[in-house]
Amino acid sequence: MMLDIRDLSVVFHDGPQPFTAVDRFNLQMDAGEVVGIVGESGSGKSMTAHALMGIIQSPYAEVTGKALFDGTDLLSLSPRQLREYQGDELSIIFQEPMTSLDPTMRVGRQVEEALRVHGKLPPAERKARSLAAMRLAGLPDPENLWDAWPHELSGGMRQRVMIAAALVLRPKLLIADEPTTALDVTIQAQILETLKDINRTEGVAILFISHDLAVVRALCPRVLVMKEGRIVESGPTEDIFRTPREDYTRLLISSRPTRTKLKGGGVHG
Amino acid sequence: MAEPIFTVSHLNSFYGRGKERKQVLRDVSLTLSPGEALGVVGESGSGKSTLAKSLLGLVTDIQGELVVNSPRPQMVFQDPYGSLNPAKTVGWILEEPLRAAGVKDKAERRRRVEEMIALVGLSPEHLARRPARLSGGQRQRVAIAAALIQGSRFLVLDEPVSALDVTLQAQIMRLLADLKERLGLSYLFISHDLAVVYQLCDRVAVMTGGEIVEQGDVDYIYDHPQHEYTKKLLAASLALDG
Repeated sequence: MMLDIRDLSVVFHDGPQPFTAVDRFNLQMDAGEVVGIVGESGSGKSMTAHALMGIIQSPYAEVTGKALFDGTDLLSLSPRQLREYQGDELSIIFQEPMTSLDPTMRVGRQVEEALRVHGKLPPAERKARSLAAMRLAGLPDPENLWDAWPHELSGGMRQRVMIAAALVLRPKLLIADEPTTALDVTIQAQILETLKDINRTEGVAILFISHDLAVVRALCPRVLVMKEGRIVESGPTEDIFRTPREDYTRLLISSRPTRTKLKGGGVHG
Repeated sequence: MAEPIFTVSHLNSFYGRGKERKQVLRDVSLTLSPGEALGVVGESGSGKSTLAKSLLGLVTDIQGELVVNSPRPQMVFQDPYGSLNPAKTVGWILEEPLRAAGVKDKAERRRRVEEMIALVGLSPEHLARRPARLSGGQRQRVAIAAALIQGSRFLVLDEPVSALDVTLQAQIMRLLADLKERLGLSYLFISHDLAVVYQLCDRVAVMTGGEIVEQGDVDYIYDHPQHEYTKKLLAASLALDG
């Protein structure tokens, strides 16, 4: 087992009452596996990922439980130890690549950044490995893109740059937090294909987070459904689609537009 | 036949000046009938938002014919955060357009604000809140209420659900269908997702590279897409339906 999360909780102590954002989250994941977490805004799905990455910003957050990654408890590491551990082991991509890319840094340098921070490799090899990661992320002609600025790229291309930067240290696990949500449907489909390829050819495990169960279904054989900080349902994605047990899961399934016309008439709330 | 809401014939729109002047719309022709919902579908950069801005007079460097007959057309954007004043309460945001339109009687303004907030599925308690204290779906309801409060019957909806969770998307789409029927609204509905357009629209125009490559009845286009680009959009939407 690569990842073993036991009773992970995130509680905020910034109001009169403590607020539990993640409530005893459990997940076991094997190397090379692809798992989805689905839920609405506020369900705790992103907070779970942020806790694993040690990037919860609030000083009022209390994170408890264990997250064993190949036996090392991520939650017990200091921020510095965690940074060193990450990259080689796990990395994350976010919804909005424009805010997570540095607008003042050329594309190639951003992809290379993690290799430079982690040191050791000579420049020529850094570049070669970065170009390979860009190719893997589906960027055409990476040599030509090397000196481009982020603003010169489309949203889909920027997301591919983020994927390349996340892959450059060859992590075992990629956490993808709503990576296609801000993109056009045509580009969404392409990015999902790229993630599938990366999983298949490189064996990178993917923890894929989305509000959209249909997108999760396109990529993940297994899914966890989260609501108000808790896992309410989990299992093989196709089973959950065919026979959802929870009303909440049924709501997520039925929210996706199907080929039906909406009729007016007193539907409020 | 009733007068169309708008008529656009052979419209070319441009951004920039001098050497930087760039043509964004090419020979676009489109009309909208009263009570109709027309979808415009295409990817980022296809020109669909420029078409919307041209209709509202926000792009002035245009050639061709553009006639809008519906008074006070209003636009609803993807991200209501950007269009709602964060410093003001919802009540103020809805009342201000009435004040600007010269409705002097305070009780009358308040009555219309309360009627409108109920119509979009919110309650009077929301009037005292500021936008930051609302969910994304509630903010979009406020944006729709603000667009309708002056009595506009034609809305340009620019990706109104794209930034929302699927559950909220479904709620806002039902609200739009409901308002259309109750108030007899006409919509120009802009989206990158043909599946979303299908739910609400009678007709659809497919745009790419600043041109309309195909337009017609939404069922017909779904079943008989002619253009390669339409086929690609359709495949992307259907890929997620398993």
